[in-house]
Amino acid sequence: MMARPDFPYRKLPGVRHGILTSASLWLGTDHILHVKNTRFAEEYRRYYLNDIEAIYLEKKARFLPPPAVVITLILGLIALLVLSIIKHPLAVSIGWIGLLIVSLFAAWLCIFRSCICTIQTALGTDRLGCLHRVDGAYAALDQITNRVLETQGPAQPYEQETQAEIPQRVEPVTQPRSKEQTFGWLVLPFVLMSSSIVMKLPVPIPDRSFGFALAAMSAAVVLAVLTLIAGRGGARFRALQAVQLAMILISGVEVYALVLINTYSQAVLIPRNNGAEVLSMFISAAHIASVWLGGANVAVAFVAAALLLRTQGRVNTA
Amino acid sequence: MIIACPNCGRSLPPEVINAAELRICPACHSNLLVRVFPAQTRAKAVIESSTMELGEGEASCFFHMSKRAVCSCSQCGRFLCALCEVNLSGTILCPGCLESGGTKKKIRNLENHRTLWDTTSLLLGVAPVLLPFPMIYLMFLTGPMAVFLPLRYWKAPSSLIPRTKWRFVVGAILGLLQAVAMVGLVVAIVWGLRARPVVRPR
Repeated sequence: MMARPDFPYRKLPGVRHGILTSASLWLGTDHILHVKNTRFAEEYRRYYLNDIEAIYLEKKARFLPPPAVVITLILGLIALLVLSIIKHPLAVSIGWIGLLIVSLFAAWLCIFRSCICTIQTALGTDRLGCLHRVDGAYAALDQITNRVLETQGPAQPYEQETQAEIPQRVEPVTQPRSKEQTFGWLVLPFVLMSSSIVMKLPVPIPDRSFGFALAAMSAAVVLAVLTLIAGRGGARFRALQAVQLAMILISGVEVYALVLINTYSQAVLIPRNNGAEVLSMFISAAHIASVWLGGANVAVAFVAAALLLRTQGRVNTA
Repeated sequence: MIIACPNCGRSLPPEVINAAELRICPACHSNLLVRVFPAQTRAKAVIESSTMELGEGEASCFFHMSKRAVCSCSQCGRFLCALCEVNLSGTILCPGCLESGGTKKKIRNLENHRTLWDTTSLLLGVAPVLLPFPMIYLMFLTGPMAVFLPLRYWKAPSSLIPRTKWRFVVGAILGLLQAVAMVGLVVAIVWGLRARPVVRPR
C-alpha cells in the first residue's frame, strides 16, 4: 500500500490476527507505528527511527498456540468427554476428528516457521508481536533497516572493545509472560471444567437457577459493554476485557450447541427410547453451565469495574 | 554497549551482529538475526550549561527566566530554552502545548489510544445473534444503541490507519432491524392481549 498525502503510513509485512486482538506494523515518515487492535479500541506505540538501536529476530517456535486453536481443542475435548460419558457410538468418530485436529496443528507448527522479533531503544526492549512469521519478519526487517539507516546515517562497524568494560552477562531481552496475560486463558477452562464437575454432582437443580443465570448474565453483559467501551490501558484491565468477551461468546456458543444437541436428541435418540434421559441431562447441564458462566461473568465484570474506578481515581488524583 | 542474545542473555560475537543471514548464538545455539544501528553507539545529546547562560541583551526562556532562548514554540510562539524545546516530527513545541495537544488529542503523533465506535456499533447489531437466545430482550437496548453510535460518531476520528465506515452502516441497519422486530413484538403482544376473550365472573 502506497503512502497517501493525508495518510503518512505504509503498511509493513507481517500481521497477527487473533480472535480478540490483532496487531500490525506501519512505517511512517519518522517513526514505526505498532497498532494493537482490541476490537473495540486501538492502541498505538511509536518507535522513532532515530531512536531504534537494534532489532533482534530469533527463529523460534512460539510457546503458546493461537487462542482460536486452544478454544477449538478445548471445546472438542469437552464434546468428546460428554459423548464418552453417555457412551455414544459417535464418540469414536469424534475421537478420530480430535486426532486429525491435533495432527493438523502439529503439521502447522512444523510447516510455518515462526519467530520472535524484538526492538531495542534507549529506554528498553519491546516485542513486536505482529512479526511472528520468519518470511514476513524478513521482509519487514529489510524495509525498516533501510529507513533507519537513511535516518541515522551509514552503519558503523560494531565496536567490540567497549564490551570488555562491562559484565559479560545481562538480563535476557525477552520478558516472561506476566500473570495478567496468562490469567485470561486460565479462567475460561476453569469455568468450563467447574461446570462439567458440578454437572456430575447429585445436586437437585431448582427451576429458579435459570432465572438467576439470565439476570446474572444480563448484568454481566451491561457491565462488560461498559468496561469494553471505556478502554482503559493496563495489561490486567485488557485481560479482564478479553475474559469478559470470551465468556459472553462461549455462553452463546454453549446455548446454540445445546439447541443442536436437543434437536439431535428429539430427532434421533427419542425414537430409540433412550433420548429422554439424555435430554433431561443436557437441560440440567445447560442450567448449571449458565449459572456458572453468569456468576463468573458478574465477578469478572465487577473486578473490571473496580479496576476502572481505581484507574480513574489515580488519574484524577494525578 | 553490549549486544546480548535475546534468548540466553550472553554477549554476542561480532560475526553474529549485522550478518546477512541467520547465525547461531555460541552459548545457546538459537538462530538469530541481529541488526544493530548507529544509535546504539552514538553519543547521547548533552546540553552544556555554558550554552544556556543568558547574556546581556539576549531573549530569555518563557519558563526559565535565567536561561537563554534558542527557539520559539510553533504553536503559541513562546521563547524556549534548550531544556524546554521539544522537537516532535520537525515541529517545535513548548511543554504546555505538548501537554494540551496530548490531552485534547490535537496532535496526531501523541495519540496512543482510539476507541473504535464502528466496531462497537456492529457488535451491538450482531449481539442478539451471539448472545444466548433467552437474552433476546436485550434488543431493546442494543438496537437503539447500534443506531445511535453511527449518528453520534460518524464524523469522529476512527483510526490512525485506513478504515472504511461499512461497520457503521451494517451496525445501523442491524440496529434498525432489531428496533423493528421489537416494535413488532410489542404490537403482537398488545394485539394478542386485546384479542383475548374477556372472561367475566358470574
